[in-house]
Amino acid sequence: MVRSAQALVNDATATPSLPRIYQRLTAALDNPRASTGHIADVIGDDSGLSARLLRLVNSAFYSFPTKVESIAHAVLLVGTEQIRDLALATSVIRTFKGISADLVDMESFWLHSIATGVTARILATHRREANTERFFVAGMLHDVGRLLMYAKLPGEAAEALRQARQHGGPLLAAEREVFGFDHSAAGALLLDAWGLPPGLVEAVRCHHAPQEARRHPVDAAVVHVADVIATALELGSSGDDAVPRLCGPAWERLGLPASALDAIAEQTELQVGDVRGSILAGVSGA
Amino acid sequence: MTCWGRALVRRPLRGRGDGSGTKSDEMGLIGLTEVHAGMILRADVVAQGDRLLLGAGAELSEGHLRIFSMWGVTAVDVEGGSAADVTAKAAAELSPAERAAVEARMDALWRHNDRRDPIVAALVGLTTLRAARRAAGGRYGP
Repeated sequence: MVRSAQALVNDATATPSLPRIYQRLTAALDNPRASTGHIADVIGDDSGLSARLLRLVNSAFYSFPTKVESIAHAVLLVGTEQIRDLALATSVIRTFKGISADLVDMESFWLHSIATGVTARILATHRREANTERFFVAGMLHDVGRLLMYAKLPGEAAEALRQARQHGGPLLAAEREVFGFDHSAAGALLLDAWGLPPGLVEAVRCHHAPQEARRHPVDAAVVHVADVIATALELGSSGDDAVPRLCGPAWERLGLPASALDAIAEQTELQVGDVRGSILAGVSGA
Repeated sequence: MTCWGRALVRRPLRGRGDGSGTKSDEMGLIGLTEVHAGMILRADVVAQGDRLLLGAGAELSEGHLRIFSMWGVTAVDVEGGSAADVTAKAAAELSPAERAAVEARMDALWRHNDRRDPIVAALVGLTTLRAARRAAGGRYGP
């Protein structure tokens, strides 16, 4: 056992910071006099982010019937809070750098994260949830605890990977054995330290144990099932090469028929390539 | 064991949650990537706002498939196009060694799950088809 997940997050050395664009957009949204034009201006200050967001809103992720030419138009179409969530999702990849390729293939890691986010948003759409972008963000961030562990304690992370591969068991269990906690706890504490919404924090903390979510059980169930589907479709990997054990009650909580699975898988595959190209373009080491 | 001929029970698709897809409660919906020109529609294909794109009984062309894709339709109901049919066709294209490799991959991929669970079984069916297509290396499918 190494230390607590809280100690891992509290140790400022190499702990990634929340992308500044999220803080700037939150400050703008908290200002009751801020217009959508002001939100667009904040995004427009970052040309890379603007390009990523425009690629995303013009992709199969939205399938808008006409091309979206400007960030101002994108903000109007998508919504201000939603565009902030997308800004976070498309910026967070750039905050995790310098992790050894011996531990994780970063491109594969982010592909799995994107696929989980896309699937979570599709599941939420089938459920007619409001603001489905928040599910995309939750899926994108569900395994960031693993990156924190890889970055800060690479020796222990390598040992957990070795144990999981040697015994064929879940990496989650090997993490608990080696670290004394797992990536879902570490990830949730990081997002909490970043000041992200409680629903997002709980969804990440409970994505392997959705039955333990008390305040946002649907969010946790959506991310859990999305993780299962994305892994099943073999769209990238965050370290484990097998599908996490499906929690039956989490699927039941979604209220979707089994017959929806094929459509969900098709939609996921259709969108993931586009979203991957939108988000990962120009990222080195991802 | 991998179940090669498992039929999935399907219902109308919801493209982006907007109701696009096909208007039918019959089984036989297959993903657009499995559909090819010459197949016969078993049910109407409708897009967002109940816009009829093509009626039941029509023979599909490449142009139809492009239009479906543009409207966000992800699957349609075609004659002889059930998941079991598609999976069986994929399996038939494989050599015994390729089939064994697919089954071994499925055993590894799903080793943490109980494959008797109906949702897990449905997902195993989906992933088996995809693995079979990959193993066929382009010999199978449109």
